Order: sequence, then C-alpha cells, then structure tokens
Amino acid sequence: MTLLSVRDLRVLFGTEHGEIAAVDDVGFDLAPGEILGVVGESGSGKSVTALAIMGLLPKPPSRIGQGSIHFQGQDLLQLGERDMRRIRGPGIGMIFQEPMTSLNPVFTIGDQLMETVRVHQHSGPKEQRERAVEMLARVGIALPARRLDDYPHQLSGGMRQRVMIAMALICNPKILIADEPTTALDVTIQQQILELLLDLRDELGMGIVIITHNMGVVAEMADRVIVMYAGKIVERAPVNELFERPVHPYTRGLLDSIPSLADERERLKTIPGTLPRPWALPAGCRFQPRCRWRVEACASTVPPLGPVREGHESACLRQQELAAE
Amino acid sequence: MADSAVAFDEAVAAAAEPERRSARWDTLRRLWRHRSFKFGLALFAIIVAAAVLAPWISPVSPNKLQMRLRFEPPSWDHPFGTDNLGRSQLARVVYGAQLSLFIGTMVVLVNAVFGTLIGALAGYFKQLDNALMRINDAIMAFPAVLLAIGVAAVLGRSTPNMILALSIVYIPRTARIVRSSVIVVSQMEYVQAAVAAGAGHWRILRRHILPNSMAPLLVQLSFLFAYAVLTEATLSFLGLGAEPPAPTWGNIMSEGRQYMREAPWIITIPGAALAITVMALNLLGDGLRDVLDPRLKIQQ
Amino acid sequence: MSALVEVDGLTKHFAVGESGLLRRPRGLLRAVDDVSFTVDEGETLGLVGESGCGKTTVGRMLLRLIEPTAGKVRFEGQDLLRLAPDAMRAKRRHLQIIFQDPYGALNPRMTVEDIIKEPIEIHGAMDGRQARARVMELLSRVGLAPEHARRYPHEFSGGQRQRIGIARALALNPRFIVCDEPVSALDVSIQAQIVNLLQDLQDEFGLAYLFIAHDLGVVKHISDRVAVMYLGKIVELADRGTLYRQPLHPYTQALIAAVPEAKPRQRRRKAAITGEIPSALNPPRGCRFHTRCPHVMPVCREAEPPVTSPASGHQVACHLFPAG
Repeated sequence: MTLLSVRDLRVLFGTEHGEIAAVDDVGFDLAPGEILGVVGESGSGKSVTALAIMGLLPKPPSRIGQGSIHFQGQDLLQLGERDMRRIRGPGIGMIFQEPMTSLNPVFTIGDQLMETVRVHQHSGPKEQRERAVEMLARVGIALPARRLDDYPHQLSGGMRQRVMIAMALICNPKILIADEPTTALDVTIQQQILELLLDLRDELGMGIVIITHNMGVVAEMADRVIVMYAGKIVERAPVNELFERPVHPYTRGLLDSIPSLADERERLKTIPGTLPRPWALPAGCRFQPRCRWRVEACASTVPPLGPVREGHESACLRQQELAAE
Repeated sequence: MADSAVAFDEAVAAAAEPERRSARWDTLRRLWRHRSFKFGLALFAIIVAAAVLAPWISPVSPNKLQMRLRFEPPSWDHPFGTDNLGRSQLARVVYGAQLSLFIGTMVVLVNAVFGTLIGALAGYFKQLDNALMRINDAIMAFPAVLLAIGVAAVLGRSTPNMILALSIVYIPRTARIVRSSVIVVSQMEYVQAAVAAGAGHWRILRRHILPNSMAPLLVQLSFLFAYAVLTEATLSFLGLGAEPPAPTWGNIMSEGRQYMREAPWIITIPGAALAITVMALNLLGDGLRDVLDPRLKIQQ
Repeated sequence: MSALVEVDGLTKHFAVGESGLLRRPRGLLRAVDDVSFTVDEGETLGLVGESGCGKTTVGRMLLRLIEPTAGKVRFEGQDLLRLAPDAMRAKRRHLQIIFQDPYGALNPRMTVEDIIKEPIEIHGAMDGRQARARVMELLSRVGLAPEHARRYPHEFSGGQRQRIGIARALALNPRFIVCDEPVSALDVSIQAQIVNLLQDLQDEFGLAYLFIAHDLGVVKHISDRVAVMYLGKIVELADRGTLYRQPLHPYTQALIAAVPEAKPRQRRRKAAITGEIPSALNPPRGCRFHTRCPHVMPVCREAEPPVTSPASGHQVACHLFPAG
C-alpha cells in the first residue's frame, strides 16, 4: 500500500533567465511507516519537491509543468487551496530547517499549538490545551504545561525544533515531511531529534520523507534513498544497497568525499567542478561535465532512470559497466 | 591515478566559468522595471525641466505687476491665471520651482556630507557613539517643523538661512540612518578580513564600510528632498521663508490664502505643484528602497 | 622546539545587555575562559565544539580581531597583546584568517583583484606590476583563472568565493592561518575540494593552521592534534588518532558518538547524551558539562575539574582523571 505517490513531477520557475525546471521528472512512492531519504546539494530540487507536495510553492513564479501527487487516492495537484488546507496538518505535516523563522515570535508556543488543533478539530479550549501538553511531552519537552506560556525566543534551537515537530504532529498526520530538520542544530542535539523522529515513526506509524544533504543522516534514518542532482533523480535504492554498492558516479563521488571518523586517508577524493546553475544546465546528463566516467554520448543523451539490480535504479549511460565493477 | 585526478580537477575547475553579470547594470535594470520608480522619476523630471526652462516657459518676469490683469482666472493667455497684483501665476510657479528645488538640492548635499560624516564616526568609533548620538537625539526630540521655525526665526529670513535651518533639522535623522548601516556593515567578515590584513581605520571606512553603507542613505536622501521642499514651503507659508516678493511656493500660497474664495487658483496651483513634487520624490524613494535595500521593505 | 603560537590563559568576557552612560551591563557572558594551547610550525590544530562553545572567539582573539579580557598570545615568542597598534598592524602579515561565510567575507564592491591585492597594498610589499603578477599567481594556485581577476564576488559560486578568500589570506605569505569553519557553508561535493586545497597549501608553504569547525569528520581529517571545547573551556586536547580512538572526556565521547556515520548497518538508536547545551551567560557551577554528563559525580557539581595529563600529549579536564 502506498501512502504518497509522486509521478513525473516537473516544477517550473519563471526567472529573468526564462523558465527553468527546478524539478524535472521526479517520481517516488512512500509507504506507511517508511522513511524515505532525499539527498541532494543546493539546487538539486529536493526542497522544491517537498513544497510542491505541500502545495506551498509560490505561484507565480513557480508552476507545475506536469505530473501528479497522489495522497490517499486524491491528486493533490488538482485540489484547490481550501481543500489543500484540509490536507496540511491532518494529512501531511512538515518541519523546516530553521525553527526560529517557522514559529511566530509574538505568540506563545501554546497559542500556536492550540491554534493548529483549533483549525482542524472541533474541540473545546480545555481539550486543545490538553492535546498541546500531551504533544509537547511526547516530543520530549520537560514540564510541558509550563512551557506552553513560553515564547519561541525563550527556547533553545533544539527545543524549538521539538516544538515544530509537535506542531506538525498534533493533528496525527499520515506523512511527515522533514526538510533539513537538523541542519541548523548541533550534532549532539541533532542526534536527539533524529532519535525522536524514529521513535515517533515507530509509535504513530506515519511515513516520513527526510530531506537532507547529509549522507550520515540518511544512513541513520532512511529505509530507501533518492539521490537528486540538478532537479533530477540520479539514483534510487534501499539504504544498505545505496551505501554499499552505489552505482551513479555522483552518488559515489558524494560518498567518497565525506571525511570519515574511522578512515585514515591522506587526501580526500573530490567531485571536481561546481554545481551547475539552474538556468545553464549542461546538455545530456546534467552531471556529465564533472564526471570521471563521461563518454561522448553523455553530452547528447539524457540518461533515463532504469533498473540496475532488484529495487535499485540509476540514471547513467554506463551504469551496467559501473555496477559490474 | 592521483596526478591525473588532480589534472582533471583543475581542468574542470577552470571550465566552471563564473557568471558574467555587472551588479550596477543589474541594479539599473531592476530600477527601470520598477513602476513607481519610473513614474516618480518621470514626474520629477517634468518639475526639474519646468524649473530649468522657466525663462522660456514664461518670458514674463514673476514680479512684473499688471494691475489691469488682477485676478484673471486661468485662460489661454494666462494658463495659471494671475494673482492679486496681476503677476503671472505661471511665472511665479515655475520660478518658485527653481527656488524650492535649489533649497532641496542644497539640503540634500549638506545632509549627504555631514550626515555621512557624523553617522560614520558614531557607527565606527564606539567611543564617539554615545556622545554624538545623544546630541542627535536631543535635536530629534523637537518636531521637525517646530525646530525649523525656531531656527529660521532666530537666523532671520534668507535662502541660505533656510538651507541652514533645514540642515540642522534633518542631519541628525540622516546621521542615524548612516550610523545604523555602518554598524551593520562593520560586522561583515570582509571588514574583519581588512583588519586582519592590517588596514587602518581610514582605509576600512573608505574602501569597505562607506561604499557598502550607501544604499539606505540614497533612499533617505530622496525622501529628505521631499521633506525639505515641503518644510521650506511650510516656513514660507508662515512668513519665515525667503523674503517676498521672491516667489516660492510657500510665499505664493501664503499670499493667495486671503483670496481663496475669489481666486482659488492662486493657492491651489502651487499647492498642486508641491504635492506632485513630494509624491514624485516619494515614489522615487520607494523604488530605490525596494531595489537597493530590500530589507527595509520587509520591516515596513 | 618552541611553538609558533602559544596561547596562555586566554579569556574573554562580554558584557551583555545595553551598556550606556548610566547603565550597567546586565550580565557577563563568559565566552572563553582560561584557554591554553600551542600550535607548532607547519601544524594543524583542530578546534571543535558546538555552538556557543567559544571556538570562533578564540580564533578572533588570536588575531586581535576581538581583544581578550585576559591571557597571552605569543607569536614566535612575542606577546601580541602587548604590541602597540602600529606594531600589531605590521605583524598581521604573518597571521591571517579564512572565514566561514563565503558570501560575507568578500567586499561586494571590489573586484577579485582588488580584494586579493589589498593586503599587499597595505603593507607596501610590492609595486603595482609585481602585485598584479602576484594576484595572478595566487589565483592560479587556488584553482581560478587569470581572467577572473576583474570580476566581482557575486559572479562566483560559494566554493569559488572560498578560493578567493584563501588567495587573499595567502597574499603576504603568512605563517599561521586561522581557518574559521572554512567548509561548513559549502555544498558537500565542494567541501572536499577546499579541504584538499588547504592541505596542499600547507604542505607547499609550511603553514600552521588553527582549524575551527563543528564537523568532527573534517577536523579529524585535516588536524594533527585536536582540542575540544565546551562552554568556553577546552575539555580535552590530544593528537587526532588518540582523541578519536580513546577519547577520555565524556563530552568528547558523546560528540564522536553523535556524528551520524554513512554506514547504515551500524545504526544506533540511543542518543549519547541528553539535555540542551546550557547558556554561556549562566554556565553550570563546577564542571560545566555536569548537567549532561552520564558519569556525573557529586564533586562535578562543586569543583571545576583541573587539567590533567593522563598520557603524554593528552590533556583532559575531568574529575574522572584526577591529578597524580
């Protein structure tokens, strides 16, 4: 059973350089209780994909070029803003990288939590308050009843992210989209937040899409992984498979370039060059100018996402060769 | 392998061209696309043109009395009508524009120099900040118009005194704006880098801080121009501006006030000119602010 | 062999809250408290810690970009904090800094050439033609092309800007560079390029680095020795192999354990330490880590742990390792 099914999604942005595809032909499924990791660098389209699912892309400058996003049998792209509002919260919740800017500084966190409950459920102030306290306790905030009256600036970064998670989960969503949820946090706090997300997944059975640039976070969290580069999916595989037998040269490059705590290596392996600008994408494979395995055909043919092994797909012209190495 | 990998790295790095785009050209293009900026600029250009071309627009002297032609309503011969002494209103309004714009320009220039100087000193040298800003605050505590009236009354009526009075009123406001943007820029890491390189105060201010603090100043000056023109008119209206019969919009309106019933054009036409000038400068300033200093827009 | 940089008892207290003519500061932020270490010629000392630990302040104080409240910073045996302003400015050619934010570190209104040339101009080290040639040489050394000299910073990507910042730091052949989180703002695939560049430059010019970062992987990779900071204090300092193989301080252990490794089969579920990082405005009494420490003892709440040296070259400040 799939909870969320994205097909052939193409998101276009109107810019002064003309219309550009920030997300191009992206598709994936998410099952209940599953954690899907979406990895990519800046400009990979990972956050735009998330916002497209939430219906939060500013239009204009963006527009959906093609594709569908099915959630519980409904295509979210066909829904109006009113219907979308009913999906956000009880259907799909989202947390962002910067918890400070995602919380309103002039309201207490209690106000904001109860407001979220009020929008979606018919319950009295007392029940709303109880629900808010329960959620804060659930995300590991000590003395939750007292914290309700705090303002966001009175909390530390880790606490604010916990509050954001509580807000996203207070309506029991089926899906949680976490866009770089720990990037702004210190590593010891990051670990606590990741642990919390795993616990909540086990307990509530929701599907999670975790978007990150950190391969370590993906390895710790995800069941399956999508690797994106310049708006396209370049590789998709179960987590162990991806980390142990990566095929696409970009995935391999990313994994190789991370300095590990365990290894003793004199020089890091690098991916040469710079990320392409969205309005000046290379012809053919978008990674081709930086690729050590490039052949002539790479500059003219857009490689399709195709199977390498069971459950493992990649978008590289030489993937059979690379997989056999 | 290692060597060829390095060679490949470098080949690719060199191939990765930075984007060619001139910042200045980009700013101009965005300004040009800004509707209210364009509109404000066009209006202001018309006013400036009227002032500059005054002798051609109106060959009649603004002070020529023609008693036969008192209180002529606007007509083909007298597009803006005549006043109680039969002077051509057209001449008075366009020559009045000259004086108003001259005073505005001078106030803006004096502000640009002294506001920047005081603001930069206060923002950059923390030891001076308290003293300078307290003086500033003391001046700013008076309402602008009242203070201008007070200064103008003490100094006496003349155009230079008017410029001085308006400058005293507005320099503290300009200095505050420069100071806060200097403080922000001082925190930038490129300023730290200059300190780390051994740069002295003068070099840091001149090459790093001031060029990057100018955007809010520019925005402020365009609004200031409008305030200066408006305050000048107010003072003239109250009889504290340039000595009559010199035509300033304030003077004309002040004289026209008595005949508002019989000859409303005497007061309304310079009033409209004043309103249009102020609006043009405000639109222009809004555009500058949106393009040069997007942060301010969010705050408002 | 004497150290190139010797830091002794370095301390910085910031007055917090508006301090005006008639007001007193509301609190004292103990950003850095009695920090001591040395950096040898050609060596990289890593300085790691989480936000608010004071690592950036330490880096800035070494260059007197922030004036310390107390302590000594000796460079080649000379105490920098006692130098008169002119003498300090002349000394600056030997000590440089590379910043974290490649967007904020370059003046947007100067061309790349002017940016890199500025230190040379300030010290009057070369005439115009030589300076220009030096800029070209530096550009090519950091992997940029000569024609980039006339461009402005906004035309470059983050990684390229960081290269420009590195070229500026190298302009006067410094002996010591503070690298303040030089790769943490960059995309993952660009980070390794910059780390390699920094290492190559070190080998080539015999540079010493103080490498400040919160990413333990990068710090371990580039450093010879590593110091771990927590709330303004160094809690442990050792050579990198020892520190990662046998960390002694419970905080170091937790920090290492918290790094998510790119090895999905080695997942752990339990967080190494709980609790938030306390505010440096009001640090815990005794050992500052005691509120989060899994091995906390009564003494930890009372007394600050002394710095001890359980093995040669390995320092730790923890009551689990008493002196003697």
